[in-house]
Amino acid sequence: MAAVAAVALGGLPFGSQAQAPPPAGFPGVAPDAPPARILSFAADRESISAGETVTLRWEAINAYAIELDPDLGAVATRGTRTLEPGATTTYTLQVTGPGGVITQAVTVSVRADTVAGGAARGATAGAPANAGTTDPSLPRLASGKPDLSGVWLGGRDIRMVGEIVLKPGAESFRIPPDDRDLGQGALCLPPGVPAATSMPYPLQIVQRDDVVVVLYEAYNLFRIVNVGVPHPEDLDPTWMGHSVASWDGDTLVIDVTAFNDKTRIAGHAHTEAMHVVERYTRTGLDTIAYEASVEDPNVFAEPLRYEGVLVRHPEWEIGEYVCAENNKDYAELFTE
Amino acid sequence: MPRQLFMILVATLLSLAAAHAPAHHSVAMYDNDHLIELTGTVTRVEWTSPHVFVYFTTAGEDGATVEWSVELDPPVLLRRYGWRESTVEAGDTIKFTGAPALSGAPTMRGAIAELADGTELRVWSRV
Repeated sequence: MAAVAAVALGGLPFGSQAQAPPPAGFPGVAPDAPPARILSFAADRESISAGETVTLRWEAINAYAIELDPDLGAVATRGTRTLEPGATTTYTLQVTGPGGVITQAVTVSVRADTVAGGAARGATAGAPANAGTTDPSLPRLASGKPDLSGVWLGGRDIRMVGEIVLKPGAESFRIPPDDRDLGQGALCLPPGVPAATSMPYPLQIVQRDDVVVVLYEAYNLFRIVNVGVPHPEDLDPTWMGHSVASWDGDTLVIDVTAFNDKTRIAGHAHTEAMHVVERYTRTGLDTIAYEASVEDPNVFAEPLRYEGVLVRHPEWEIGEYVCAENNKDYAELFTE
Repeated sequence: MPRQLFMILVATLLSLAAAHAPAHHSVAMYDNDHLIELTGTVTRVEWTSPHVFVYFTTAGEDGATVEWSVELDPPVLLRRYGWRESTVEAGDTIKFTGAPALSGAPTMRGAIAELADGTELRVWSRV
């Protein structure tokens, strides 16, 4: 095994990271979050000849973000990568979590005196072609429009801003507080838009010029959003509504209509007249500024506004979440 | 009226059924302001959505063994914290910090798990 040098830096601000930690949102008196730890980080060989490969393995826990540099960037909680460094390279695993940042390094020596088959390659020669780019320009489709494809997490960063202004006489739409209210998700039914984006689960955007597909891990929902076309006429009301998109400069604007009246929005019931406009603006390689306005002329005198940032997580894959799999009877857990 | 009585009976049964339906839920049934710590021995694990459940036994106040259940985030989230399905198995010693049920039932919403080797892991996205 290669020698591993551990360096605990601790206490660095989260703001130094591309990925932000999840906002605090504990519903009561929060416990101290367990710190992130690196359980293992090693190379299978500490010394290779030029042209040979080395495999890095790592495993961390409680991380908000993990980066493996040089070249690899954001990586998953645990994994392996086989690389072909052309020169002696020190790989650093940087884990951000509660309490700060920890790093661990492993150096792979490349023997220059045994170069076979040509000159030694640069230190980044073994990196995947699409990893570690330092080009900050935004990915674009062939048409020149921004490419939003990727795995993103909005989660609890997506919040309502401003006030709720009810239409006079619409007070009955307010859902009164109820200590026994299990919430809208109690029956595993879809949360609607923009609620699906504000859940603590990632979504994946798959994009072409003529269609944008949004795949939500939460409830394993999807939206198929045709671009540059109007809504069809005579739509049936649905949980996630009907979406079509257009471009406002470099901002993707998704218009959502044909909702049913079974979801909640900001603690209120709504009618089938609810109408949502979402705006997605890619502000960096790892960020999309997300905005949504929600109007229902039967309920609200002014549109509700939501804002937040979608953060890219290239190290994640959308997983299976079958909400109906294993639910319990929670009624007995309330105070009698 | 027999028919009216029948309809009232049906409505009552339906409302009872709704009140006790299995549900994916808010956390209003837990005392989130007064977390407790419990150590015990794992009896089984349900590696399922929308929540993972770990069952463990611990000694009750009267010395009798009590089986607790603890509700965790779903597998898709636990894996990102570093869990895997084999992280906790029957027979393991485990300590949970979590919010107990308001009713006093031996059930909690887990926040942090401490494994036998001292490793602490998040089990709730809000921690």
